[in-house]
Amino acid sequence: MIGGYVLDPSTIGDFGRDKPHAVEAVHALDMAAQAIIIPMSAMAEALTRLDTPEQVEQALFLLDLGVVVPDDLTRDNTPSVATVHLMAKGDTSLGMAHAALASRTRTARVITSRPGVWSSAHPEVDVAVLADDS
Amino acid sequence: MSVKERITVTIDSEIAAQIKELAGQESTSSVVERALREMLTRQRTARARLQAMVAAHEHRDPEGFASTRAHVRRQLDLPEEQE
Repeated sequence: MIGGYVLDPSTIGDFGRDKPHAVEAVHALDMAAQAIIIPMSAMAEALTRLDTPEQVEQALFLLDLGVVVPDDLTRDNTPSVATVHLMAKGDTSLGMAHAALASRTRTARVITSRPGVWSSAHPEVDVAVLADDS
Repeated sequence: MSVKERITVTIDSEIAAQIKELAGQESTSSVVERALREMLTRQRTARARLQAMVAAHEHRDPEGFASTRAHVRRQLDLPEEQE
């Protein structure tokens, strides 16, 4: 068991927007030396939804933290991400499917501010809810 | 003058080959030490920036942020007083 926490696109986006709950979540996990897994397709998805270059830069700065483990979309895991996406029970996205797979393979909880989307699309995933923007 | 200490690490052979290629005429230990130094500096800088962000939120809205902190730590199953 590896453990840790996976950031979904909503949490990465909230961090880029300097939302207090996302900033505190990252800070608390950093201080507790807990691994923060960032699926890179969730990062890309979050970046495309931000409004300013400053928000993009702030989201990307997450990758400089020592507790952060980037999870790349690779030749090996792409078929599994696609399968998770296809098997979703409701509307999902590439970034969410990648986060769901990372959660399963690393035995880690997903941190989100869109719990409604997770419960409908990937009900099997264990989520920690920072806010509810579903 | 910095004090040097020898440590032994085991790494993937593919990475070792890349380090040797990158090093060229330079010693591999210098290359690895420089890379680690850069990584540690980047991580220290990132942590300082994160702490500044938290401090700004605390300053802006002390009560609101305390409530956010308690909620986040409950959700993440972290102790209330981590620091």
